[in-house]
Amino acid sequence: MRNLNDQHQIQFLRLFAEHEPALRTYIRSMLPSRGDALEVMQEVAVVLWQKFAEFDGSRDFRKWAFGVARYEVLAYLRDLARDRHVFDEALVHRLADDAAAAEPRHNAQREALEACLQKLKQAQRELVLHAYAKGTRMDELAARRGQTAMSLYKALHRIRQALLECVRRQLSAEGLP
Amino acid sequence: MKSHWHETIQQYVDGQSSAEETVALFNGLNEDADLRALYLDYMNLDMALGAMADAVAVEENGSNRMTSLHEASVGALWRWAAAATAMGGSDPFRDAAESVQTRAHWPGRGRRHYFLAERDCAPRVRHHFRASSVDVADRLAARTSDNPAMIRAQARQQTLKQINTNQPL
Repeated sequence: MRNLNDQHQIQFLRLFAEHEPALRTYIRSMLPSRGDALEVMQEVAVVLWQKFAEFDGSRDFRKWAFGVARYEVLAYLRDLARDRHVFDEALVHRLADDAAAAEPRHNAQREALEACLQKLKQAQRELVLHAYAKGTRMDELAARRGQTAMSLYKALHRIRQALLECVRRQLSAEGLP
Repeated sequence: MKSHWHETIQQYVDGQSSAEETVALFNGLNEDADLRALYLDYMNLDMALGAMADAVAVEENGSNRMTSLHEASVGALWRWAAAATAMGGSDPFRDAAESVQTRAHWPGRGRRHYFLAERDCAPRVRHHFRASSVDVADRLAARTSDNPAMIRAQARQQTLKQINTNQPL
């Protein structure tokens, strides 16, 4: 028989797994790079786990997690602002509010993305997935492909814009905003 | 909305925008709700592509295998289960497979995801993984194999090698 601690862990994992993609987007929205977002995401995961005993199960886990994440992002940005140009706090709150409201649309976009990736030419699909693979350096990837970094970025921009237009078109066809 | 925002946002996403372009983007985001919506869509795409790339095995011959978003989320679950283990000092692996109906994806994959988790985590979290790597690898191997003794020995050997050389498996 599972004890209370086991059930507690299972409940956390279930909720975290369900809301993790939304949380990643939410955090990314307020930070300048994916690397920053992944670092804060890890901190947020740890804080959520540590505070989960205080979480009221009748509340919305996503809202609770977003609240924790916003606080962690602001703390991270305060450190980052010493070295880099980052969003001011008012803009962070504006983006955070918009990102939370847009989550149903973003969730639908994430679901549509897989089909849109399959519509790309194989070379384009491989390029974008290589570019996003962990540890990829764009200058090295460009050199391997016999391109300049600038031309590689341009190609990546075209692919991302095409993907975004594809997912937006797909949602529109389904009557979603 | 002006079409140049697509380019400006993507340059910012890639860390390629100049100081002037960054300021222009910040001002635009403060003033224009449509621009914020476009920006947020790109951020969502950025994170989703990262998750997809995590889930794709690029083979040596250059072809790749596209895994589903479901598999990507299973990978993510492993990482965060590992994080929870490391931070909590307990073992959420035990029943999580059944709880998220991902059991079919686990055999042979759990250990790899654990190492990915260890490798990818932030410096402040990494030492927790280091402290418990061997122990968790042992227990994972015991659960995901019909021959736990042999796999446990291999897991221990590979884990120690990975820790000592700091190389991904």
